[in-house]
Amino acid sequence: MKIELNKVYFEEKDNIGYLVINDPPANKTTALFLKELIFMVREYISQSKVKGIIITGKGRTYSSGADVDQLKEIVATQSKLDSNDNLVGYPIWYLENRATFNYFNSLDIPVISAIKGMCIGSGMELALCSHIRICSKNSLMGLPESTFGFLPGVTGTLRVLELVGLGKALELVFNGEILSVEEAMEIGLVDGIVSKKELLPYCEGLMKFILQNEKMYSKKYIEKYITEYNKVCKTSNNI
Amino acid sequence: MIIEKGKSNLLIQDATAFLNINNLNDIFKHKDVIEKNIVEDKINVLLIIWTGQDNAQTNDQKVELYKWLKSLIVLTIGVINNYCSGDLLELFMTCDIRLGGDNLSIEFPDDESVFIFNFEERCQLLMGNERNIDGYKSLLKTTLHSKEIYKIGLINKIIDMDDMLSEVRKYISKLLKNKNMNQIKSILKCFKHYTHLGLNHNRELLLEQESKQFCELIVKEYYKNEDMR
Repeated sequence: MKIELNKVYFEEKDNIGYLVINDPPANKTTALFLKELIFMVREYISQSKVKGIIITGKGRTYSSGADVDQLKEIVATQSKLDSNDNLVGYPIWYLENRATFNYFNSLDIPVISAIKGMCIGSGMELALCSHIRICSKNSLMGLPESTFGFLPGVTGTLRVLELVGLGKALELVFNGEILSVEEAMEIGLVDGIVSKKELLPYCEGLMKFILQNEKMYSKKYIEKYITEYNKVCKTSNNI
Repeated sequence: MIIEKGKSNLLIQDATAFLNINNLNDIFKHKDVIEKNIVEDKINVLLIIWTGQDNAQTNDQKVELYKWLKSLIVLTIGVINNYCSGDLLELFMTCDIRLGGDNLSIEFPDDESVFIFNFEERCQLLMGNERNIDGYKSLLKTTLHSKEIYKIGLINKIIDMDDMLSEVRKYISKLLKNKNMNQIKSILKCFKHYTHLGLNHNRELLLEQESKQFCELIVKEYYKNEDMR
């Protein structure tokens, strides 16, 4: 089964659901993409019987993040401040974005992001909501929101904190630095690096390996799954 | 700024409060000045440089100090280059960012109950809670040195203590470059909220603060720019 919208599609194959950001070359997380993602999750993914989800981008890149001007315009014109400049309400679609990103993180089935090219801004926030991040060599990752005058706003601050701890998370958010996959792996943002050609087959193999495991899937055992899988498939020379 | 062993002093420069302390009670001596500067938006970083030996405090003082530090909407950075244990370790682990010299060594306590804050929760917050959920108790009864401490993520950077002030200035400058006070405060409020509630708190409530800070900052900056046009 394949459900295709303008900027995103979801395809089920062998018990695995493939969620693909389909707006190449940059695969930006535009307002239309986000609206479609919310719809896709609500109408199809949450009803689906797949046992695992792989998130990736169409073409050469995972996602190069939001359309900054569009995002600022929507948030600024649809939020409400009181007379003392305190926020009293933000756009409903924004709350839905947060819930949708968080949905992937809270799933009890494995969610793997297959990352290539750019994975930055809200694109990276979506990847951080996956349970496992596998990258192709030469990919770039980062949360550059602070360099555009704001901060990551779709679960990204909490997810980096959970993954790398307070000090490093503050550095990443304040600096807005773009990291190589090697740097991202060293601090614990990435779980594996493979060649570009191997990226999808590796993620599919890892997913199948996890699903074949006798024990019920748990995020606690991610390192163990990856170590065991690398031993089995003997691709450790690529990792 | 001249740092002398045995003396505490406070220097406020480039929106940073450089506080050199010889014992933990020295912080109280400068508390009012620091608070005043925060209220007046004159500082956004509190750098605590430890040069002393005596780190004992009473529990009441400890609670007061930690509550105060946690309440500040400034980036707190701790710098230590010697043996760190007990109350000093607890203070170090209360800072948002920790920098250490080559001579830093941390002795973790035998028992987590000696900590005012929850030891495991604090470790989760400082080193992440996703991949080492059960591992933090293994730190108890161990002594780690700077490279090992850096490896587990408890310090952000190992700095050259011979050139400490210059290194720290560069670090802060890189971190806060091109950011205005509104933006710094929004990011800090977001992370302070996580620190205050802890990572085991209700996820929606944790994320609500990120959304609030994100939208409020965008709205304020958007209309500020519109007004300027």
